[in-house]
Amino acid sequence: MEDSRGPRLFADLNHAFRKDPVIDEYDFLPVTEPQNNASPLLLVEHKLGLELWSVRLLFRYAYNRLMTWRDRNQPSSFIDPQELTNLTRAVLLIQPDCYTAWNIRKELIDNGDLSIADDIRLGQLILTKFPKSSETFIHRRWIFQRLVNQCLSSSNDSTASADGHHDNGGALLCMDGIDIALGPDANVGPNVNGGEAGRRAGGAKVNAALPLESSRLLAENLHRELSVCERAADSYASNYYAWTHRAWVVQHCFNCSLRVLLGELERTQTWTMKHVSDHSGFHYRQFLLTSLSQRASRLHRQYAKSLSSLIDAEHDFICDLINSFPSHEALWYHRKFVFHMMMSSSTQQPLAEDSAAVLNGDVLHGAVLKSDGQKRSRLEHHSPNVLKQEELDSVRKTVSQTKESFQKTLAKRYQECSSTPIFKITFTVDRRCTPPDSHYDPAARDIVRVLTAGSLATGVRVYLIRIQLLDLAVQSGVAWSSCHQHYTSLHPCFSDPASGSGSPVWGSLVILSPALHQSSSMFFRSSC
Amino acid sequence: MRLYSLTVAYKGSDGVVKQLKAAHELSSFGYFQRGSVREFMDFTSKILIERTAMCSRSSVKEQEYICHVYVRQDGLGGVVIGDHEYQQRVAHTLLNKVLDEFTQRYSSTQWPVLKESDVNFPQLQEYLQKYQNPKEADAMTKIQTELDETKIILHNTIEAVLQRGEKLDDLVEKSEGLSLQSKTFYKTAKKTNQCCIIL
Repeated sequence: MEDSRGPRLFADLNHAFRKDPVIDEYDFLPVTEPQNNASPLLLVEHKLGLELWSVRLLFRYAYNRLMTWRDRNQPSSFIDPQELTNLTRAVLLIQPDCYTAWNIRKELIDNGDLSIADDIRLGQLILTKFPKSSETFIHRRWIFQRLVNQCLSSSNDSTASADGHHDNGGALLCMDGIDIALGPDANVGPNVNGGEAGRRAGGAKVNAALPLESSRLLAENLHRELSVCERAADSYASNYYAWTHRAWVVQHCFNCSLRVLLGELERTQTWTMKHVSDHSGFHYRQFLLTSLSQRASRLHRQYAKSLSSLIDAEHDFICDLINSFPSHEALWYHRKFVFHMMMSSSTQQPLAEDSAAVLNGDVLHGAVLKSDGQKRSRLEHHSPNVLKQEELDSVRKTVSQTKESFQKTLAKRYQECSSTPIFKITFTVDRRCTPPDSHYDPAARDIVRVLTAGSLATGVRVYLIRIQLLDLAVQSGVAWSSCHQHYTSLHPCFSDPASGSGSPVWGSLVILSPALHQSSSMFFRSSC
Repeated sequence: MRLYSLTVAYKGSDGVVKQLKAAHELSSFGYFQRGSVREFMDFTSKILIERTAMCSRSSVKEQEYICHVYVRQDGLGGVVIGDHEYQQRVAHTLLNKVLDEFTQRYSSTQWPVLKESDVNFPQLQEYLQKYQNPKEADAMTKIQTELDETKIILHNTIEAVLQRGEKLDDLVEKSEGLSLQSKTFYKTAKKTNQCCIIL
């Protein structure tokens, strides 16, 4: 009985996709028993419903056939590529975690038996039902990486003329260039919803070697990919998979182009406003801001925008949210991040200038870069102390005004964190000191704990300003050796080239840490 | 931050609750779930008004949803169902407004005989849309003072609102407002511990 139902269901499913190639949503219907002789598939308004009882049968049939075919030990029966594509589709719609099926699809794409457009669309469909499917995201990464590589191999000549204003050099993909090169084709636009354009591509001629085809696909799909991520993040709270993928797309497909970074910053503002308790969206914004801060000078040149004005705007934005929607911890965490970014860019303006400058030394006193003719942001003419005072005042105001007890707690916690002084630490690493044990200085242990806890989680920002390898005697009696180990693992530049000689490592650090305890603060004050 | 449904109902002196008008915003749910979700929201709204005393407010948490209930002295009641991010005070302000406007539209003598199909009250859907974004609904500033006189009772589950001996499963089973599909939905969702649907 079951044997005959499996193939029939499979045929039904394929028929549904033939009938309506733009199915944009599917779900399992809560029908646990077959009720009449009708097909358990329902197709309305591009939505596909599968009755629950049939899902198991369908999956078992498709999965078994696929795995038998895949099994190298058995004499494999021939399955033609189209059938194989359908089988993987059936399996993945029900169980997108089956990476073997995704891999089979990769092979099909490689052989030119499956169009990339179709595959992208399937992933998109699956994400409506399983918005957190990491396998789906990973597979999509593979597809996009492939498209990008194909474009890269050809874009150097085709976009060379458009490349002038971009200082990435020709080696990297220039998205702006591709957009321009594609002018007429790109008019198909990102909003065709996998419709006609995709169908045409899906026909027969998808030849993996066609760079034009892949750049068209890329241009068409990249912006849509951002929307796909947004939808996935919308339908599942704290969907870091989706946001991580989005960050990946921005980094690897858009090559962190400033236009995209700024656009994304603008775009996610609405999302975060609607999901004030979901930190994942803020995390993505932190990624955007960090990426922008690494390109501050280019930002200034191309868009006449200073990084500090962006941070300032973000600070206003988050404060406004905190006031409007009290008692959400995620908001306070984001504020912490923004505030630290503010502080670090005001203490170390050149840091923001270019990440490469970090290790160049001589930037300790941070001559503040001023952009003439531009309205200066709060950041640019305030010293860190003034900034901190303002911040503390505003938090104090929140504490006194709010009626919600949790908001008060959060504000107080924030206050404690941000009132921790900023240290400029000069420390020595001495390998001759005894290794850490139970007598290990609690303050030093605290620092190690904080540093190892991961900078993102605690909001710690460790900026390495300058490392000088000096043959100096031990300055402080604290056992820093283990700290040294941790620094080395965090920042490889800490490793001592003169290792073995026993010379201590001299370094200067600025630690902005809200997570340091009061005792450690005291310790640092005395040791600086 | 979302509102899913807004319901106005009348609670007679005998305790029988009659839904007068309901508005829904279910676009965030899957296409095939919407029917059941709507039924469950109506069902929940009804049992909450039934179990809320006259002249009192409460907010009932259920998974990631919160149902805000207000029943007035004259028996007119309202329920707004939103997610956990939606501010309680704004939701209760919305209820105040909606019930006031409804009273202006239909006088209290009409309520016992009014049928849901005859009620013409499009403002309900408008309010539901407008209040999706509380910042735009200009409700943020005034509410602090307006609501202070009535205390809002908080419950952590719907079960906590039910009377002694009552069970949600039985209520679902007995309900006439729920289709067979919704009941199966409820059971399967409960079995697999999904939180895709209210209740």
